[in-house]
Amino acid sequence: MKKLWYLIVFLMLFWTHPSSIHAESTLQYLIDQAPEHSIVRIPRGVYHESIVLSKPVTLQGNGQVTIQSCRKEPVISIKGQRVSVKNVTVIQCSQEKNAAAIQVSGTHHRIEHVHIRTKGIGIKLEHAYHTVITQSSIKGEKQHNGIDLWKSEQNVIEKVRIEKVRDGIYMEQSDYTTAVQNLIQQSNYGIHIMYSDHITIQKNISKNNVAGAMVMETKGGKIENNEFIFNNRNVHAQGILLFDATETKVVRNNISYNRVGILAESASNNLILSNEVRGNFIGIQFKEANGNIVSNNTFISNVNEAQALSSSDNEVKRNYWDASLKLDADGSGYSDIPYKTNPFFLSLTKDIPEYQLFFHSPGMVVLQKLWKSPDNEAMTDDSPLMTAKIQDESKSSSGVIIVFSLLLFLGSITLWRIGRKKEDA
Amino acid sequence: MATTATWMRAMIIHMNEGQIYKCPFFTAGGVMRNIWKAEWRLTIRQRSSYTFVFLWIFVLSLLFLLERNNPALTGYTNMTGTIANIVLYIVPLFMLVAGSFSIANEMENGQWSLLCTYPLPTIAYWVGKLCGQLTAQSAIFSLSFSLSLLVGTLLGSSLSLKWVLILYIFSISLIWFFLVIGLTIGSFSETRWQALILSVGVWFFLIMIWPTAVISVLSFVPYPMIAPLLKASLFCNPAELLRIVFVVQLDGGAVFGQSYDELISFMQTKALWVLFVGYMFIFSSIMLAFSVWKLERKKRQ
Repeated sequence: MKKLWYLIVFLMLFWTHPSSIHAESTLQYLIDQAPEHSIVRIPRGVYHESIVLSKPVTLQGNGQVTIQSCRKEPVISIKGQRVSVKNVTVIQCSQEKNAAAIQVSGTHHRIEHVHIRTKGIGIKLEHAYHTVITQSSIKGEKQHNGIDLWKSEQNVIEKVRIEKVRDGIYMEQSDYTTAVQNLIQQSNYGIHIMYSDHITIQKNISKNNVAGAMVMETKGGKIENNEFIFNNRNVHAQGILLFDATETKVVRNNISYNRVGILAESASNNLILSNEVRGNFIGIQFKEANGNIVSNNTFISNVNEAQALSSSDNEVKRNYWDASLKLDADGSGYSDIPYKTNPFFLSLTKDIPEYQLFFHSPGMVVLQKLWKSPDNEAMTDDSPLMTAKIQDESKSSSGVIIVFSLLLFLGSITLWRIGRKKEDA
Repeated sequence: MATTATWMRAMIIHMNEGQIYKCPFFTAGGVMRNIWKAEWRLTIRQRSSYTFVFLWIFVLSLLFLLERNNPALTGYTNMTGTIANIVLYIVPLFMLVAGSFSIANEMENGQWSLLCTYPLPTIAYWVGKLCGQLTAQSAIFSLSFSLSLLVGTLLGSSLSLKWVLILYIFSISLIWFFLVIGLTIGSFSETRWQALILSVGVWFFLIMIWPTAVISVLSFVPYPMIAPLLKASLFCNPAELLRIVFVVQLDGGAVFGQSYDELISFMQTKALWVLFVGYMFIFSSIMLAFSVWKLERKKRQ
């Protein structure tokens, strides 16, 4: 009887799995058999194999398709040109160094609706050109980069959700790369740019990373409308770092609640315009940075608004500083009183960061006199903006407020009248 | 003198009321309620209450107009910080003076000695005083707050309800804590002059010089002790604790930095209010214990 049961269970197991076993042995075969420019439709199932796509075909999953491999080779290798991969889940479980879930070279490829779980690199682009990665996700184990570009140009990465990797998007010597509407979180650096010129970074959200964006050794880039927020988990955490970057535009970004909002080190001739810099420990910090223009930015409730170390030749003007004393005598919209930032909390909290608790404390007036910050570290804005230039968050609720104040009035006047009433009891 | 007369009249009238027979005057509850009512009436009837109304209207209108210059901003800004600071400068000082004078005045004009001839429970006396002062001062403050708010809104200030509510709760809590401290100061002083000096001293210590004092004391302790002591110090100064809660409630908690992450995220939960009410109760009880101890000593003399 027992033997019969074993036999039944064995048969059932065998019966339910033949499709995957069958497909597993033929996925590469299917691809090899397909003519060029055709669509290879993969039936749903789990495929334990690594595949190579070296001719122009479209690999498309029908339903839930998972391709999994624990070998050092990439789970999917894309070569040649015009290869598309759509609607598959890729799992790379190899622990080996530089093991990638997907490796791309060649031109005009497209990766769409691909969801990657990896112990190694998510997508590695090496000598890849005009490739588009879109509407996908990558989840790693903080050991390797999410998307790694090496000597690849003109590639587009959009709407990709990346988490728990080393660097979300890492590009080295990859000019004209575009990253749009990606979300990168819980990683080391959100976007890391090295020796790559003319890159475009737009509408990305990079949060809860060590750094929102590290922009290094680059020229002529555009960083616009991004959100670099809550990057504060590390003593070296920044919203955005410009290191040896030149002629880069940092425009209309929301850089909030980081340790340092914008750090420009050895950077020159950059434009930092119309950003909202809010609630950072240091709003903007310059180290040996010269010839940069900082204008029309909004600085709100930063513990230290700005600090300049060995950086004298920057043009800081027409920003909104919520701590500045403002007086506009001629109605120009700019204050007549120059604003000099005082990063004195830096010296107060240098040894004991806990003292930050006294930020905005009413007793700070006394303490501020005792802890003078060095004069040469201040930044001066000659004509600060009178009003902040950020989107109106329309906080008004006048009707409710009037009702509230009337109720309060009635309540208090009743108490008042009872108090004034002649004793009649 | 006029105030004494009113007080006495109130006491006598209440003693003569029919309710005496139903609810005997000389039970703790009865005494407390009578002192509460008397204190409330007395404070509202004083000419100074009108001065307070004008003062609050002036200050609060200024604050709402200040916030008006911030039309596009929500949450915690430097302006909000400044507004909290103005409230912190002015409310505690006046509440300390009002609270301490309420008892010191009776010490000075002999009314306390007179009251001592009745078998008055000291706790009832103190709690009655607190309730009376609290009712009167909150009525005065709320009246001014509602008028300034109405004027501000009609003049085109766009304020958010959340912001207004948080500011109101912040101010009323300040009134509570500093009336409690004020009454304690009153219990410890013989004359109004003493009460004034003590009130200003306490105000200066808790509000003006607090960070400097804490930092100087902490420079003597070993480094690992600093963080826990700083957190503990929050509970020694209700003004500072209220300020932190205020900032956190306006989503500005991040400005205090990494070291306070846990504290800040705790303050964003509902459990904060349980802790807050508990703290209010414990703080007031400690102050009550000190005052009663001192008043009882005075009684025996």
